[in-house]
Amino acid sequence: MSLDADLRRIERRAYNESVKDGFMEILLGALLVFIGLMVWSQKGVVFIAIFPMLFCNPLLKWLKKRYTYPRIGYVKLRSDDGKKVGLGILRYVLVVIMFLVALSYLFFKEESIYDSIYRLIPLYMAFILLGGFTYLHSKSENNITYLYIGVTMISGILMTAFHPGPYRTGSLQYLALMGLFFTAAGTVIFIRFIRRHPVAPEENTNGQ
Amino acid sequence: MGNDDLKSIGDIDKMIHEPSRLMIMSLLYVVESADFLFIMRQTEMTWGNLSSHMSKLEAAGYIKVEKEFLERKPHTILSMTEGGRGAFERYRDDMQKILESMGKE
Repeated sequence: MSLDADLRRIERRAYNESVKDGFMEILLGALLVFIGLMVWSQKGVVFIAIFPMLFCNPLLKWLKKRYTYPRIGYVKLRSDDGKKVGLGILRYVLVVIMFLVALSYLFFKEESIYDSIYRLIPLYMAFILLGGFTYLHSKSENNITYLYIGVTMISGILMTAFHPGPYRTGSLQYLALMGLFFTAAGTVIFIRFIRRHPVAPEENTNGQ
Repeated sequence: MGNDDLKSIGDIDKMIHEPSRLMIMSLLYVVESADFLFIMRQTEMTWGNLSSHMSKLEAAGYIKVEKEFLERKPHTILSMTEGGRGAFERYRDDMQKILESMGKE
């Protein structure tokens, strides 16, 4: 149905507009570096879960209010069914973990559990990011997600398969590398964004 | 096309059918809300043009307009009402039927 297709196209455009500032990439990069440091330090693992909720959302809102909305306007997208999304994420994570456990049993039987876990962290994170970017692509159909998926998966596989060890260092290296990549990508996107979109004149709804 | 088909064309919702208003309604249908600047950029309308159509849609009860001040600057947020959503869906169905009745013979 072409009318429905037109509406989907409009929705995708609206979604793309809302993420064209680069902040998603910058915050993702910072989060990955933070996770790397938490994994490395072996302390405060619980903060890995709490940090995004405590700081990322308010920070993102502040950044968008300050830089994005005055330039391209504000849009609130329709949210998916939270329960459905949550269940989907849980199922996906469980499948990934089961796959990695099987992989570990098949190929890394001789290693200690400690080494196995650290060895598989890059591949685990790569799959988590794959899930996230696949979801993002379904919303935006933006081809840059293919680049992100390619970079995270290839480096995750290489790091897991070929890192000589110690694997704790490998985990940190992968997370730091991905963190730097996304922070750099996001920064470039942000700079292009503010150059292309100057702050709009003040709203005048009186017909002038 | 018979007389009934012609009549059905005349019965479509003219408030929505106007191209500029159709753009606004289509955009608001797929998002939860958007501000004036966002809609203006997406539809490529001028301030005045958008303001005029916005007023008509609000008067028809199809959209809700909320005005606030953000850092001392006026900020207008638009969203579709339930009535507007229903009207848009009816318009979409009516247009679909009309286009199908115009199918190639």
